Amino acid sequence: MTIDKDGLITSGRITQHIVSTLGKGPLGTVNGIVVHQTGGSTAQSAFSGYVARPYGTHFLIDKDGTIYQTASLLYYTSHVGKLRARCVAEHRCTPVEMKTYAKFNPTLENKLESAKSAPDRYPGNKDSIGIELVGEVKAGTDTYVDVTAEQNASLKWLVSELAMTFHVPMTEVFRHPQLSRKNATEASTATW
Amino acid sequence: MVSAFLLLALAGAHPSCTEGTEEVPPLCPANIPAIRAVIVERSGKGDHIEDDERLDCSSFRLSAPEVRRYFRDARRVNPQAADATLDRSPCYVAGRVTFANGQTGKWRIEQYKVGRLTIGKRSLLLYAPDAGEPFIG
Repeated sequence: MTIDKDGLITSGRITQHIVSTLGKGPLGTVNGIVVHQTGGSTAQSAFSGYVARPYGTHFLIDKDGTIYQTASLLYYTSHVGKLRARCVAEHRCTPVEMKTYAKFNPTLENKLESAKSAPDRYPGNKDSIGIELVGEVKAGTDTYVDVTAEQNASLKWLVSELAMTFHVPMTEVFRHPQLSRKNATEASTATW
Repeated sequence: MVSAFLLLALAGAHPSCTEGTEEVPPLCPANIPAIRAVIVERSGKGDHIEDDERLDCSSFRLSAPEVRRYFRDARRVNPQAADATLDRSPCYVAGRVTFANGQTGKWRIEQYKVGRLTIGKRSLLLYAPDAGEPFIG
């Protein structure tokens, strides 16, 4: 995988569809990769959303497996949200942390976690690469549709290439609800 | 008579939204029509299994007046922006609403202040940042 001076990937497998407003500021050391589902049924609806409101990821994978780069890898994007306490999820909090986190307070939790360094915390907006998979919530339910086989094949390739290029351990690739409080079914059928 | 359905449609084009940050999405006027009645059908429910021992959905309950207050204070948010910013909770209260014009809708309000109001096939995602206890966040 080759990345040019503008943070764009040169690869026959990736189609450029950059929405410049998604880039918020300089992307620091990449400590993780976060996999999302869009909530919409088409790539076009995601593109329209990115233009209307600058929340999104660096990559978008359509249902047929087409990979779009939507933001430069020079910049971070807003895609994660408030962080969960990693030590709680991994049952390795210190006694002080256990006391702090005993009372459930997601806002405080995010504030304290954000002050830590990775990998003591989950990766956040400023140190992660985001990948969205086109996929809606099933009508009348709160459950995301299954990720297609084509999407999973593309995701596997993209995650592998990004992990190698940015030296991200595969243990630092997460589904969005793992590191932030989201609909638990988001990207639950994604594999890499 | 302007229908609640039309009002919700118009709400999607309202220009006076806040700008939004990395933690809060743009907040727009919800323009929810006047409410005649609120019925709470499910309370203290949990949707998805979470591996967090601190989570207790049974403690999250709302009365009909509290639901009315939520709808009064809630702002409309875009689902894509909400997914990148707001916490979603598996704990929720749900029920039905009847508007002053006779139309009815379904609603669901989560513990972390996110709600959904559905009238027919249209759905409005809501967020009430200043909602107090029993909300969290």
